[in-house]
Amino acid sequence: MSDRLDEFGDAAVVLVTFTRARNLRGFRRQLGLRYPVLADERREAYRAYGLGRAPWWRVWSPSTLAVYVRLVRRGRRLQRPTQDTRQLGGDFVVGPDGRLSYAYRQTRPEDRPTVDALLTAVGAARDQRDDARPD
Amino acid sequence: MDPSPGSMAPEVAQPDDQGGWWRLSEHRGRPVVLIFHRHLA
Repeated sequence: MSDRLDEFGDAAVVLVTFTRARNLRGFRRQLGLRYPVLADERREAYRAYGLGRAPWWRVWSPSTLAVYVRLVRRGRRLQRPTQDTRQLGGDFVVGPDGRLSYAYRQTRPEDRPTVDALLTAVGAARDQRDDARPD
Repeated sequence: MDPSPGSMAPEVAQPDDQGGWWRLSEHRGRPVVLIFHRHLA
């Protein structure tokens, strides 16, 4: 995502986490992110956007474990989880008018939209603004 | 009710990594991509 940030143009990109506010700087540095990181410790935003927690059997499903195996093969060192592994994430695009124009809620830890899908959603959100603009 | 496309996006107002607060409502006029972190990211 960070390496393709320029393609998002004027869109604001932000990562919402449930990490502690005092850990944010380290978190952003560790992941090498080029966009802001927020601390939603009480998961208010997660709840407001309808993101719940997965049942354990889905978190440790064969497909999730396969992702971990792939990461380890690529040389990623897995760290002992210090965060809630059952919290599900999601990706949302909000249009210039403040309306939700795209919503992707994951049902398993490994699914998430591609960067291309997000770029398409941002383009569609921009078109809505252009449609609303008087000539 | 979970918000769906077409409805107003719920406000997001949380501390950011710069020591300030980030608010969705301050970004009207341009698209915003909200990525909610999950453990596998």
